[in-house]
Formats: sequence, C-alpha cells, structure tokens
Amino acid sequence: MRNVYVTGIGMTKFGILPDMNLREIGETAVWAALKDAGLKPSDIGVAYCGYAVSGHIYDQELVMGHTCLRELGIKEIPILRVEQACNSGGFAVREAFLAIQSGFYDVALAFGLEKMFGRGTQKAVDALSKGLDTELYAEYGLTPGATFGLISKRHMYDYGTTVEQMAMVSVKNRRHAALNPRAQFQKELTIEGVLTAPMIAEPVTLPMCCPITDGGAAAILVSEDFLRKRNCRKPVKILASVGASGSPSWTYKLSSHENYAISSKLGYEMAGLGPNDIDVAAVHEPCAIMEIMTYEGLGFCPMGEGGRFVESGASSLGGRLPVNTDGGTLSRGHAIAATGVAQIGEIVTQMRGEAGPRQVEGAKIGLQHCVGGYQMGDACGSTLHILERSSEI
Amino acid sequence: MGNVTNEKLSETVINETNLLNRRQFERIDGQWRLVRRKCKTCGSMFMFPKVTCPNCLGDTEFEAVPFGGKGEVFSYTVVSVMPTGFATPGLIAEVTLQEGPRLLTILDVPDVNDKRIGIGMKVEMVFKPVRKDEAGNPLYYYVFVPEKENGGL
Repeated sequence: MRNVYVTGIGMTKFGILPDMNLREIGETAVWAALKDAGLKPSDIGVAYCGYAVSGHIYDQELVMGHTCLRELGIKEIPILRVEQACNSGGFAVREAFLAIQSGFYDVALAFGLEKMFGRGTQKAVDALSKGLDTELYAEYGLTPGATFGLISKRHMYDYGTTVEQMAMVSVKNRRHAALNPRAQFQKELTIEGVLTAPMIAEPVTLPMCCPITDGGAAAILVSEDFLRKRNCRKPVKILASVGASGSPSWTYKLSSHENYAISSKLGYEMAGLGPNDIDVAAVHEPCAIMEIMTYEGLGFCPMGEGGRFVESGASSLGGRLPVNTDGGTLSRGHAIAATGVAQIGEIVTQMRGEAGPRQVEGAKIGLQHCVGGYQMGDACGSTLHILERSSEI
Repeated sequence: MGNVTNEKLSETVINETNLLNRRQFERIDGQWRLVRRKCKTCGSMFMFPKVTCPNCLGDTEFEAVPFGGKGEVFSYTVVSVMPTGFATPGLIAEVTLQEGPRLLTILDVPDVNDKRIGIGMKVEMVFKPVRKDEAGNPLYYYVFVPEKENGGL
C-alpha cells in the first residue's frame, strides 16, 4: 500500500461571509491550499467536494464542485460530490486518501463548503433537518436541538454527567477559539453564562449548540513518490484513514453511539496505535454532550467518565489530550460539509508545529473524527484519521 | 389502548387519507394500530414494512403484530422552539414500548414543565389531529400521554 501525505491546507474564515458567494468560498479555500502546498492547479488529479445543506438554502443543489474549480485551472479531471450530512468533508478526505493509496492518482484535492447565512434562519434549519430520515422523524417535529436534549438528559441519567460539565465543553472550546483568528466566535464564555443563556432543548442552552456558519476548507493529499519528486512542503503522514456507517437498532442506548467504537477500532488498528498515543484531537461536537461522548467512545477515558474528563482539564490546551484546539464545531463554527476538512487542517497545523498560541507542545500524533446524520440511535456514519508529524523526507 | 375516545376515533374518524405516515399502521378489527413486523422465519420484530428481515436477512414474510400502545419514557426534553405547525414549547420524548422497540414521539401533557414528568414515567399511545392539510382538514397521528391507570397528569 502506498503512503499518503497531506501537503497543503487552506480555509476561509468561518462565520458570516456576506461578501462571498458559494463559488468564492470554495475558490478561496482551494486556492489557499494550492499556495500552501506550492503546487499548480494542473497537478491535481482528482477532486472530492463535500457539499451538504447549501444546495437547499441557495438553490444550487448540483455541480457545486465544478462551479468552484472551473476557473482555478482545475479541469479535465473527475470532480465528485461527497455527501454525508455533517461528515461530508470527512469522507471527501477519505476518498482522496483512497484515490492515492490505490495508485490511481498522485495528487488529490478534498474540499468542503457551505453558505448558511443570508436566506434566513428558518431556511438553514429546514436544510439541517434534511439530515434526518423523514419516515422516522418528520411527524414528531424533531429538530437537531431536540436530539441534543434527549441525548444529554439520558447521559445525565445513566452516568451522572452534570450540566456544569457540559458547559465546561463550551467554555473550553471558546477559550481555544479565542486563539484561532479563523474561528467564528472568539469572545470567552463562563460556565454561569452558558447555563443562564437561552434554553434550546432542556438542559441544552444556546452556547452548548453549534452555530450555523459560512465557510470552506481544503486539503491536498499526495503520494510519497510525488512528495519526493517535487520536494513538497511540510508533509504530514496519514497513518490511518477509515470510514464506516453506524449501527442503527431499535433498542439504542442514546447515551452512547456505536459509530465511535466502530471507526476508532478500525483507525487504531490501521495506525497500529491506541488512544494513549494521541497527542491532540479534533472531534465533532454539534452539541457539548457529543464531545463528552466522543471522549468515551474513542477511548480517551472510560465509558461514563467523559464529564469528569473535561472537568479535570485533560481536554484543554495544556492538558493530557487537548481536544478541539481550533474551537471545534461549537466555536470555530460548523460550515457543515467543510467541518471534516477544517478538522484535518487543524491537525495538520498542529503536526507542523504552526498553531502559534494554541500549539500543543511536542505533538507527534493527531486524530480527527467526524460524524454525520442520525438514525435509530447512531450517527449515519463516521470517519477517523490519524496523522503523524513527519521527520524530514 | 384502553381509551374509549381513542378507539372510537380510530374506528370512525381516521381513514387512509387523513392518517399520517400510514406505513406504520394496519387496520385490525376496525382499529388503526401501530404494528410491529414479525419475521415468519426467525421471529424477530421490527418497525415498518421491510424487503428482508434485518435480523436473519432471509427471503421472508412478515406478520403484522399490533403494539399494545403502552410504554415508558426513556428520555425527554422540553423544546423551546418547535418547527412551524407544532405546539411550542414542545415535549419530545423517547419511549420504550412494552414490546421492546424505542420510539421518538411527542408527549402530550397540559404543562410541559410538570415536575412529575421524568424518565421511567408510564405512558400510552393515543391518536389525535396533529395538523391540517391544505384544505384545512385535520390530519391524525399518534402521540403519547401519561397512562390513565397511573393517574395521568
């Protein structure tokens, strides 16, 4: 099997981008990744575009990837849309990895983009609700917020997790985002402020939920042969790239989701590593409770101990295993299909030692995990990547 | 469903055209019933008609077995803003049916902040009009209410 490296990353600022349309968001992220890699547009052999909810919001459902790339000099190659709700970007990276590992291509582009502001909040919420199976859920008025409330309540019941511990996730990620100029929110929060904020779905308050976000992110993956031939800049090796669907059932636990165990088992096996080897992680927390569940599901702490894990400071910068150093979905923002690619960007930045004030000192191994969709007690699917700081190639 | 009003509603008012998500139900002895699909090969039970049994994956046939309509609250949340067309605030719950499967549903109670609402509370299914079609005619679906035998709310 061929070794695969990330050599270029780029992203727009996440937040409200009134001066950029969808094409410009995509172009900006991809162009930044090309510059970062020091590669030409014509080097790209295949492109995967994560794109999920903006099609509904902006009436541009199809061929978004082509729209972004056609005048960047990236043409006459396969350009494919990848969709798995919030994890569209994660799977775009996974597909790029496979394209190179298989030997078909030497350079692959993975990018994701969304524009969620500008057409009213209701339109954005309607678009998000399309990540739920309508046969199962439409007649109950289920919203993502309600799902977060149900999961949080059950996690509290099963494990004694507290609302203060959930608030600590929001506070911690905001503290990290304050060090990330590309994050959507940078004003620090307090536990009391989180708990007294408007209630979304009891016990979940507004700062415990991710925002809607405009933004794009891109990553360029290359083969080891190409890397040597072209002397690419600061490559970061991909030790594991895995993806899997979830394990839906009619007797789900709600307070734990199977996808974490499924993708982490595959990922740790592929990398030949375990949770104790991870120095920094980027995980998907559309709600504070889901970061707590991720600690447990990926083996960062025992099942049920996630609340105490964040409370101990272990997942903060300076702690044993800093999680979401860029602010995560809660504070970096959640431009749905761009999120998985932005996570890869943050881990690459950490592996390069270029994260500035949010750098995890001496970080050698980084993990990315993202989930998308929700059906019958589990995410529809997840991807997990493990990246390694490279000694000079 | 030991609720006379509910049975009468089910017999005389609800029909093919005004029942939402029709594929979850069968009309049995004059009553609309939420049904499980029982695999005739392995005996496993599931919701919704299937092309194969999700357990044994055989070329099997299914038998429609009605739910008793009773269960208990597995989790719940008061939702501050519900989607257009739903009562706000709303009480959304996961209910474990007596027969095993878990369902997402709406809990229909006079006061969503009633302190007696909690995990483990006994509930039962009733039909009610949940919204209207374009001509203004009521559309029916099921919700769960606190079980009358346990005092209701």
